[in-house]
Amino acid sequence: MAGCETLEDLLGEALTTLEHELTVQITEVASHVVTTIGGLEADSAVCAFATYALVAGIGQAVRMNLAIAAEMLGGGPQFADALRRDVEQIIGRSNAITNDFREDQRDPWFTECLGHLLLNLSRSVGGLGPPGPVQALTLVHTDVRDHGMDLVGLHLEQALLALNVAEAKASENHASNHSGATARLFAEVDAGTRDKEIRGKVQVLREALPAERQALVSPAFWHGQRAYVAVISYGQVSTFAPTKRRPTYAALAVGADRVRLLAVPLSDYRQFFDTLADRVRALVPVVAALVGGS
Amino acid sequence: MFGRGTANLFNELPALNGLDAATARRMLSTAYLDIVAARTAGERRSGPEREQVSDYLRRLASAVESYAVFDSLHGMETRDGAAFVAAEALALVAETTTLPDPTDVDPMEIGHRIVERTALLVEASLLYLIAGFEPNGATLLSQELGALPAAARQNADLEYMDWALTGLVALSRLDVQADGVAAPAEPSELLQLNLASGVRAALLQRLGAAVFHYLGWLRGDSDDGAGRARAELSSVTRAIAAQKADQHADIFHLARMADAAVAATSPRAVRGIPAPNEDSEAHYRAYLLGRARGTARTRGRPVLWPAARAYVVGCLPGPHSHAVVSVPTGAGKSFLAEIAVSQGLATGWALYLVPTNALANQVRHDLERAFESLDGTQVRAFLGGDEYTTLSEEHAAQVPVGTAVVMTPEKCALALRLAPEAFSNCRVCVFDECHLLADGTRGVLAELVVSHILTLAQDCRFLLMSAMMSNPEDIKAWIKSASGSAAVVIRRPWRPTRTMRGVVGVDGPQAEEAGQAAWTSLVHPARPRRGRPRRRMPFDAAHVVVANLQGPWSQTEDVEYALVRLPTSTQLAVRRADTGQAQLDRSGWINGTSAALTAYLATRGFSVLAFLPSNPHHCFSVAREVALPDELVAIRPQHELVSALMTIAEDELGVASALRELLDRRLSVHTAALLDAEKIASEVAFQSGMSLAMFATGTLAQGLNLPASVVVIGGTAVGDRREANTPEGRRRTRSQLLNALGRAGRAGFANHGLALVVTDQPMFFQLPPDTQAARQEAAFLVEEDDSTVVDSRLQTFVEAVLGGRLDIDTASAEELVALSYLPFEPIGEISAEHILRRSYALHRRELTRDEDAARAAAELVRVGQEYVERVAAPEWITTVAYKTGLPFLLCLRVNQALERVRPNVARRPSTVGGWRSLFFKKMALLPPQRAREVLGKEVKSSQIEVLWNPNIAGDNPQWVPPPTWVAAWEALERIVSLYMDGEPLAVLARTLFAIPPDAPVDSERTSGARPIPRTIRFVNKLLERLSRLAGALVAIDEVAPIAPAGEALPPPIDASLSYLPLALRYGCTSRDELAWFRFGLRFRRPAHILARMFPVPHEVIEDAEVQSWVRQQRASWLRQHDPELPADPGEDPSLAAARAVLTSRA
Repeated sequence: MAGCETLEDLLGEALTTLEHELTVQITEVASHVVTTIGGLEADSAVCAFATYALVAGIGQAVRMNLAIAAEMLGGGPQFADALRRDVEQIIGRSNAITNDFREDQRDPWFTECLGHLLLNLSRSVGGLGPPGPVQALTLVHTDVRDHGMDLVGLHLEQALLALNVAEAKASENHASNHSGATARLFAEVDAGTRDKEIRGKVQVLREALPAERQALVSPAFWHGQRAYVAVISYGQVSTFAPTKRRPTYAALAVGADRVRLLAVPLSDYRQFFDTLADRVRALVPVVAALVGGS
Repeated sequence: MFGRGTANLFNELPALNGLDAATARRMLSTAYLDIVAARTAGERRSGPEREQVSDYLRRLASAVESYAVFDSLHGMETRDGAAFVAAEALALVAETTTLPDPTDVDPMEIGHRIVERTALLVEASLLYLIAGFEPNGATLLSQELGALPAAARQNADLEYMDWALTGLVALSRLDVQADGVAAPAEPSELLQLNLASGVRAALLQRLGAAVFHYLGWLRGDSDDGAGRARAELSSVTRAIAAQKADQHADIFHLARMADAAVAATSPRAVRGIPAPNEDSEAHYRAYLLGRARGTARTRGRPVLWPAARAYVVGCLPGPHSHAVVSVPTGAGKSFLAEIAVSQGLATGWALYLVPTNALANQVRHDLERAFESLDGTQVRAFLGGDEYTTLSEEHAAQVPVGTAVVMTPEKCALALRLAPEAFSNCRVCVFDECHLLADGTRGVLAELVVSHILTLAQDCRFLLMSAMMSNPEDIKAWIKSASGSAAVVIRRPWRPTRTMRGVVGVDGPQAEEAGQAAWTSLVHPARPRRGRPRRRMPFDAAHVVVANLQGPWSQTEDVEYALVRLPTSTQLAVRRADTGQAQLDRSGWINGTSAALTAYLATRGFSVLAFLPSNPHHCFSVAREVALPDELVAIRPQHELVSALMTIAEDELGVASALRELLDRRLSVHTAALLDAEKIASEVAFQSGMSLAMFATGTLAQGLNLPASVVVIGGTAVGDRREANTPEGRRRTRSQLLNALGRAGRAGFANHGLALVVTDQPMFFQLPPDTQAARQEAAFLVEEDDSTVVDSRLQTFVEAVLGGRLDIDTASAEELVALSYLPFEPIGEISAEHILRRSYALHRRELTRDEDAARAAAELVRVGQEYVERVAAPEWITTVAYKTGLPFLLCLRVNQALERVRPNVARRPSTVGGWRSLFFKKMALLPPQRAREVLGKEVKSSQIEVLWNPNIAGDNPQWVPPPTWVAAWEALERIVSLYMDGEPLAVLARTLFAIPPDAPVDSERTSGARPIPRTIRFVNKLLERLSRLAGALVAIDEVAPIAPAGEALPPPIDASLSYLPLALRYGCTSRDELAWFRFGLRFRRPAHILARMFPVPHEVIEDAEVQSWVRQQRASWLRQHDPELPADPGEDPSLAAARAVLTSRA
């Protein structure tokens, strides 16, 4: 972190650390492909992930919204204030939080960040994303209870653009139920319930593509190639068995190769997220200072 | 489902691997069929699985929307075809969405679902706008959208999106009367609470503001609203795109769509139509903005539909060019015509020709409302027939600048003969349904009228319009060459609705099995039967619909057809033939199937128009068989206008109307066997939703605006089967059936329509269905709507004249019309040669046109002179024939009969009744051959049947009629007198058909042989013919005054003879009754009452003064009755009803 002068430096350093720290184990089962992620609980990994969560998960959205506010309204709050407020709203002012907030808001949000991180890393680390290099990816929600899909991305498959949809869930002891919830969302995508949302997201993602790739967007809708990525963090001691055949995944229209389950077993589930939250809060002044706020 | 216009749009689809136009059309049609099947509890039994169809549709929608709206990286150009296909696909997807059940989920969830559903509908609607199909967008959003629950409003993001969607809904509907409402909260305040919410609010606020800038611009609030709207929308999309802020992707998406919609519609804004000239700019702009906004009584028209846009670009200002418009039904011909008329009124007057009086009335009302904001305009309709009369208000004697005149070609023919000078200042001539030119009965006159106007009005620009015409280029060439002015063809197959064409048959395997079971129980009854064995056993044959998935049935491949089983059936029977063999009894197939389908579809929420073209009386009998469910009948809405019209109708009839019972059961009927009041009541009931179905004859398809979501065509034989195989019979049949098909689909109500053809014989369909047989049975299904070649009906006449073959004694009806119309001697500066030179018939002989016109005219003069000499007619008789449009020989015989009556006339009559008496005395002396020419089809009445007795014949002008003949004419006069005296039709029927005084008059209409239909036909047909002949009396009196020798002619104020033709036609005995009927209200018996209550003062003499006096008196009478106060119990109910009708139309 020392020597980082910009948020991009900070983020780059975190990604490099995580790329080294994380371990990946790929298992193909009848209904899906499982990638089990290890190494996340190492202290350096926690620190790096906290940086990623704060910068890519919250800071990026704050910077983006402030820029729009300046254009639409002629100004807005200071970056530091907005960052601090969003951090408190998303992960709490401290770890003295209710169980509901912890289970329904904070930990799932971190898992969504994790999904974002893994899809980003998938550009260099195999098995972490869809069957093809990710070209564009939406930001992490700042409101985890948002009705929308957690992450929507575009990746390349044999010179064609394809869609990927990721859904993240966190549960210390009931991850199996949550994997069912991800399957329900993917089934909604299959059934077209999410088409409108996808159309909207993809047209913004198009802006991040080079011109020659933008021309592939309309055909991507037509050929309808897509992949699903479920990201599930859970207590290692729980009964959740990610490599078990899951009929709900098998029922999806895309085929087993396109249903990816990124399983993140945590040996000390609760402690991991508490530590992570503390690290994020501690990083707020650093990030604010880099941007120029106080 | 896709006619030529929309089918071609599919050809513009992007080149995507595996995407082809035919498959896309097929899949969209299949999806529509699935929706129909779901709504009717039917089942599609061929083609791809529903899930496959749904998946295809969704991929198609997203891909082509992306292509149309988002791939345009340089500006906001749209691609109409892709946008249209995306809109259709999305709209069909959206049709399967429903509002959330408020009891199912929490308010927040309901709020989200409502917003998501509305956003989807808005997306599809905006695509329709981008594609130039804005009526479809409005229709899609006419459904219930739901309201955000109060608890959901606590979520600022949800509430703001809901607010913005309200604006986008207004934009999608182009609802220019919508006013923006204040945003829920200040974005800057929200920003302090939540950065993302504040930013969303700011973006949405700008999006909402842009929408209302644009709507305000369309209605004239500002001159820069469209530019501002686009600037605001661009700022929203630019800000989001620059940040790649996918958090606001939904706003980005909507803003891009809205921007594309503004870009696509603003060039078509009505406010952009150029004024006809500089002088009229200010008040023409006021008119345009008034039309864009609309009023409480007229729909706002903020943008032009494609045909109107093409007209504006090609022919305005002025209009400077003629236009021949071939566009489908419902493509906006009326508004296009209104624009043409509005332009012409600036420098002259405008003529609007329509095929029927009913349409003339409707157009008059529409134009009056449309021109409320166009200062100095006046709209007049000349209704009635072509009977000759000298009453000034019956023809366009003088037409001031700024007047629009609506009439039929026949009425116009009269006006052209009576006051040709009035046409010199006619600037615009609209001819609606101009395929009438090709009509076997009326085409000759219509062509002569157009040719005559071309001759008289050098500055007149024609607008000829038809949905049926296949050769507009030919017509354009004619008008251009005859006028020497520029002309354009506007041929836009664009139409705001799509119609799927289906054939109704029976489920072959099911019917086979059921028929076999019926046969078994017939030949081997379960229980022995006493007496004669049964010969017939009924069974139910289930209905299936075979539909084409492209458009017209021109494809032969099985894949282009789908079969849907419906839960309805028709009872057929097996019969034991004399040979002992089984025989299928198909009786009742057409009507039974039509009744069953109509009833079922109406019950399932479709508005159904059932055409029964083979026999007008079937409409009543089939409607009788239809019983809608009690719960639907119980919630029948009341309609005051319908009630008032039915009161007037029953007063006119003198018995209960058979229609009333049907209307009470939510069914309308429209046939020639109805009074005008009943027809209007039926139309209003159907248009307003009071009636769920209407049964009509094929002629309804002409012009009247009565579209439906489903059309059922019960049988493919039209009218008299004896004429079915003549060229004219085939042309009429095809034209009527195609026109009927075009009625399915209802802009503002349903974007897609279904036309179901019940073939004359049941077709037994299996999988795959035998569509070849269906195409043979209903050949018109293969054709596009505009398949009628408009050729010249005058051509045969011209060729006969030029070939020296014209023989007046043996001339056909068409030739006689032409002979009467063309003046043997020049009238003013206009001769037959002038008119012929500008005719379509002579245009066809372009190289020798002028020479042929001169030769034809000379030949006409020669033939006419020879004939006059041969029959020893006075020379002026040709003038009488020209004025009245009646055959020359008939005029001669009328005059000869009149000469025989003249010595017995003591003095010149001075009342309408006196002239009537003289008229009938003269009629009794008319030779039988000529009398029958006047009388037309036989009226089956013992009182007058001798008039059609073939044993009484001959054309001897000096014949001595037998007493029975004279007695019949006296009887006819008595019956006509009853009508003119204001007696109800039942009284006429009693006399006509010798119904005993103690027997009731049968009010049924289920057969043409019943007394009421026969009496209506008597009044409509026979009296019309007699009134035309009375016109001959008027014309003869003009050139050879009718008075006993030596008697001084009456002073000019005695116009009683000039009233006779109209008095006969409309059933009035006095000037006052006729005045109230013509200028007060066109209902006979109320007019009689008002004439008694408010007689026209003696000093009011001139026809124009009479009109003015009656109109003032009518206004005063209407003002006396405060609608808020209880009705006067002593007032005649028909009068109260008449007031209600007048008030409702004011």
